[in-house]
Amino acid sequence: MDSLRQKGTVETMSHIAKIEIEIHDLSALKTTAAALGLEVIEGQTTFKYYGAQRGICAHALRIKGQVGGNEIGIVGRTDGGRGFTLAWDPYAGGGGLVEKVGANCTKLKQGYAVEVATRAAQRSGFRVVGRTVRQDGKVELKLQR
Amino acid sequence: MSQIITIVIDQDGGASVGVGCVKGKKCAEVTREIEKALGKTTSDQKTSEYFEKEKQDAQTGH
Repeated sequence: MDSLRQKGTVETMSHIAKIEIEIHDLSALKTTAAALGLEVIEGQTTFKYYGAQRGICAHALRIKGQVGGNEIGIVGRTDGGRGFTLAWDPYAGGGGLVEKVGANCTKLKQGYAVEVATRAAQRSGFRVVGRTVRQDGKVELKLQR
Repeated sequence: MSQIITIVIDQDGGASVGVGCVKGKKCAEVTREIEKALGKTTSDQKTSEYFEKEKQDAQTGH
């Protein structure tokens, strides 16, 4: 809501929804990961973090081609919700992962949201007519049909 | 008339979806699939544009 109001576009809107982004679409996550220089290892059920410790996951993310490095676990939600959460250890840069995905996985989550929103919009017959990164780091997508 | 959607995605795991040029109840239908794909809708606010159409519909019996 505030994001839209900042642009002064709220007056032309008839309906504004605020959404908490959840990771449901593994395909969209794979596309986003590839764009950031990562790869999803489907079906890898543990992920490596600090030292040689390992966590449980459904799939894992790693820097492309970096076998044996720190990884991000794509973990099935345990709260009854659909989709996944991300588990990792960003300590001391997380073995290069922080540079790729951002602190708190912000770049990865934002990129995923852009990808999944674009796909959903295209399924509904919309096309992307504008994509800008604002000074505050927020990404604005303009869709039209 | 063409339909326009603006989506703003922040870096904290949130997004705002707004729809223009579609007044009344139909505007929610336009963004439903996009909202569902993105995650959980935590708030849904209708602006004066929405109610403007609702009023028109009531007056014309639509």
